[in-house]
Amino acid sequence: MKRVVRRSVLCMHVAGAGLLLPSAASAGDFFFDDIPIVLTASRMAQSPLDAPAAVTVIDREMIAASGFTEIHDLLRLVPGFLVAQWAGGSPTVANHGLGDAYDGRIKVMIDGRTVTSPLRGNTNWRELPIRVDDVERIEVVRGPNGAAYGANAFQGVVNIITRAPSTEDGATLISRLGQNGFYDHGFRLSGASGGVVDWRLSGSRRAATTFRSFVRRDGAATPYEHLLIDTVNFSASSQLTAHDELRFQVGTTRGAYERGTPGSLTDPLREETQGSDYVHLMWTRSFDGDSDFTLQYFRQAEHVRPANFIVADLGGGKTRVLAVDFDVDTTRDDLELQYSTRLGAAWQAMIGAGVRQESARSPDLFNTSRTLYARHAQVFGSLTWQPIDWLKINAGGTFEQHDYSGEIFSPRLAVNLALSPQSSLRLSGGVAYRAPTLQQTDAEEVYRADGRIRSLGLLASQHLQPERVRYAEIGYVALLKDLGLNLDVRVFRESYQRYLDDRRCLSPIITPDGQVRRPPGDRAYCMANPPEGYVPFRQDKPQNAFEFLNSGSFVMDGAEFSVDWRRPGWGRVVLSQAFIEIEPGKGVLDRDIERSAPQAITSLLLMKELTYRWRASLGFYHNEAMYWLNDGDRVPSRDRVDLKLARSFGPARSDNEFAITAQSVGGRYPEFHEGRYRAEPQLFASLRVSW
Amino acid sequence: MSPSLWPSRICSSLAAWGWSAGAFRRAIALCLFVVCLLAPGLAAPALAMQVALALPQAGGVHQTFAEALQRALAGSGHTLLAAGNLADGLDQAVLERADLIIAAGSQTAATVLDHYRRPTLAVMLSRGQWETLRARHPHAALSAIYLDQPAERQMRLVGAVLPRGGRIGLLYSSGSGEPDPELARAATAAGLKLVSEGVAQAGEVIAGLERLLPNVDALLVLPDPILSASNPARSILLTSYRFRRPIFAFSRAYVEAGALAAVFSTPEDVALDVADWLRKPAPGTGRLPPARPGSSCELAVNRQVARSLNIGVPPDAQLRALVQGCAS
Repeated sequence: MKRVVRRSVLCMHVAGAGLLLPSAASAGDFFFDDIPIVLTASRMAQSPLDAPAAVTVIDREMIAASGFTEIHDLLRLVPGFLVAQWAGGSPTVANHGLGDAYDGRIKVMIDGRTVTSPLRGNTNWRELPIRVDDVERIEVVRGPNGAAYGANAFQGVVNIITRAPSTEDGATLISRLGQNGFYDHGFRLSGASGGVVDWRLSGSRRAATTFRSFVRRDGAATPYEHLLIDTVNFSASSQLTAHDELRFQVGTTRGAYERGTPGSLTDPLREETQGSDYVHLMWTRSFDGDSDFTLQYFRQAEHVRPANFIVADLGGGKTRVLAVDFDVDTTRDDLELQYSTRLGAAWQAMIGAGVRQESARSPDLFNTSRTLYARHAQVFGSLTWQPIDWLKINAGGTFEQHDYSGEIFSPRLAVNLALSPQSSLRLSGGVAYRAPTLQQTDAEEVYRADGRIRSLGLLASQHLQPERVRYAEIGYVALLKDLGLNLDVRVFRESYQRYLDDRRCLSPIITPDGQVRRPPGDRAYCMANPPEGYVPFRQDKPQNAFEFLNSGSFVMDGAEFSVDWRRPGWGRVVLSQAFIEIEPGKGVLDRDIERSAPQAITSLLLMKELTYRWRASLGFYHNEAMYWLNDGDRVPSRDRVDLKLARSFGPARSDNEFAITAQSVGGRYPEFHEGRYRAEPQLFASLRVSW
Repeated sequence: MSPSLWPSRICSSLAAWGWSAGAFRRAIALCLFVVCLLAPGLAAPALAMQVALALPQAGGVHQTFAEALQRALAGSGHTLLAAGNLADGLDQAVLERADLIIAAGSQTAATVLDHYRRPTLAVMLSRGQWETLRARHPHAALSAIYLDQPAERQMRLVGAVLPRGGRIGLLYSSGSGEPDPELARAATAAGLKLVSEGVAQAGEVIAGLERLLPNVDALLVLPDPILSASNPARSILLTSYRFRRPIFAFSRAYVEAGALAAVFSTPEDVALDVADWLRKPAPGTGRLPPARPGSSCELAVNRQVARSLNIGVPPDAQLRALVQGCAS
């Protein structure tokens, strides 16, 4: 007879013996147990040797050494990137040129979540619900990348990647204290590692006077800006199974600004507030190291409460203060899925799709109390073929349907030739688009008095085509590990068409009987009729307004390189240089476009390790004379030098640090508009303590 | 049972009776056992044995092992008998009449040793588990082929990927004892320096890594009851990547999850090892082999990780030659 020894016998044995602890008893299975697949090809930083586009990575070491406390400043370290602050709104970032107050040509993401504003397509850098101290690295694509990210990845893509909560524990307090009321106090709390849910809660309050008013030679005062910003961010992730990870992030930022020009009637000192909130949910299933599926949803909301008055131009040099409701509330809901896999030894594929709804409400910007909606859908994919070790061909594209710009397709073809295991040559070309924004398609900016529309501002007076760039580049990348040297060289040509611009135009005369008088064929007049109910203060002559339009074409040629040299025990040097030239073509309205690219841009970050756990770093940032467009103006050739001296303390290799940072040691320098803004130098001490 | 198997049964029964008894009986058994072995015409037919295979459960890697062993023993003259599994029940009759029991997994081996006094070869278990079993059954006819790789083999892999030498970090749970001193010796022999960091519990993994990783060029992870669990393993992978330090691991799954490379034995490798031993004349003598790691091994490399970390890993064939004795 067969007698069966069942598991209960074993349980008695284990319990009775006490020798084989349950954990130890299963230890042999660790050799065959699944391990959570966390580093798939699509979740790791792609090697620059393989990337189909030029990529710069700003890593944690560079972030710490730079002394920068705000995200946008870090982009000064990217070859060809231009960063400016101004006192009337968010800082702005441009790649090579074409920069204006609202940087709508660079797509910005945090952990894969688009954070650009639906209203103007720009990034409200200071309202990003993220602290510099939470950033693990920033990956920057230095050129058009519509093939991978769709419209608005027009001149570059900035993907800010935060530290995974599962790589941190304990708590950190950080405090920065400087001149002129500058402070930045932050905290981080992390859930214990090894738990079911890894989480991080972080927050900060920071204040600074970014622009102090000064009196120009002509006696006029310049604008002033002081900010106070609170940020709270929560991030959690859970490894549901060896193959499934769920990530949840939620955050909020509130900014209060004092802005204005002392003694000015047209730009009086005032308080403005601005905030943003988001929630981001992501599920990733990793099938193996080459294959994963991601589904993500996020919602972003922005709230802007600017001054509730404006000085309207009445014509004839006369102005009048009008009450306006320029409050702005926007939302973005985005659902996206993506699947990456390997198709045999030589093929790798990625495919995905997404839908997005954007909304904006601003009663006097759109001349309606309704909320405007725009919907957008896209499919995207790429295919990489590596028939032999030294050749990699990547073809990719994104097809999109926008409510406000129709159908567009952004393709790219890239060829990477491995010259050696440590170096490669890249040939790449494609087409990218910048879709018009909600403001550019729907703006009807009105100024009311006595219940009537008395003056007009920006008007979406015509159907706009997406701005287009055709680009080609040759890149060389070498990662010479033995020498501690990374090289990145690139030459490019970008041909822009249908440049999206705005211009001053004349609003037609409205006669007392309601007739619209517009001289036929006069291009000085706005393309569209004024809105219903428009009764200008002066009806005897046309009044000024502004309208969006597709203007001309031009070509941007350039070359750039970066050298990153590291020697353990000594330090590291990161040098970037870019040379740019813009050749105007037909129909360019603004001659500043040609001058919007400085002939040369330089950044240098020197990190030196010293004895007794001291470290010193120097940042040098230079650009030749250039013009910022629209609200901006000329800035002369200028240099900025930042210094940081830091000492770590506590247990060896501890995160604890005391530092002194001096930004712009050479003093004030012209920023964004030579006649109006001088960036303030800053000296501050910082202390970071971790447990 | 075939008459030709009787001598081996007698010898092995003697051995089992002696090994599990007191000193006097053990001495008698030893004498009889020696006589048994020396008796002409008695030991020779003992080459063919009835081998019972006990598994922890049906399916999975243990089933893979069972099938590989079945294939490997085909034509050997030995008879492989399925003795069931712990989950569904072990077959007592098969286990009682077997010349040799092969117990897959530590729990299976523990149960078999508690209920059957047959020569037992434990497989598919860790070295730590083997040592626990040995301590609990000091006199049993027991041996093992464990899954842990020899230290020199692991360090040869690290040295092959980091030919310029460097410092290799080892994170271990202090509750499991100090790391095997052989690891440090093997590291030195491979031109490396071993730096160890102990943590008491899973919650200290990140703190431990933050102390360890800045000081080393790579991380070695070994099977560990605390650190090999899912969440600590995830923290280890992500934190090491954050510090841009490659991980050398102990399983193919770890490499698929994000480790750079691993040397390990598969169930098929273990089956081949068992079959090789059974095919040699020695088993017929009733002597179990000394406990040892598997002689067969395989290599796995995550070339995506290597590319992302800018680490030049030799081609598979070259790596195999450098590590010696492993397939990939």
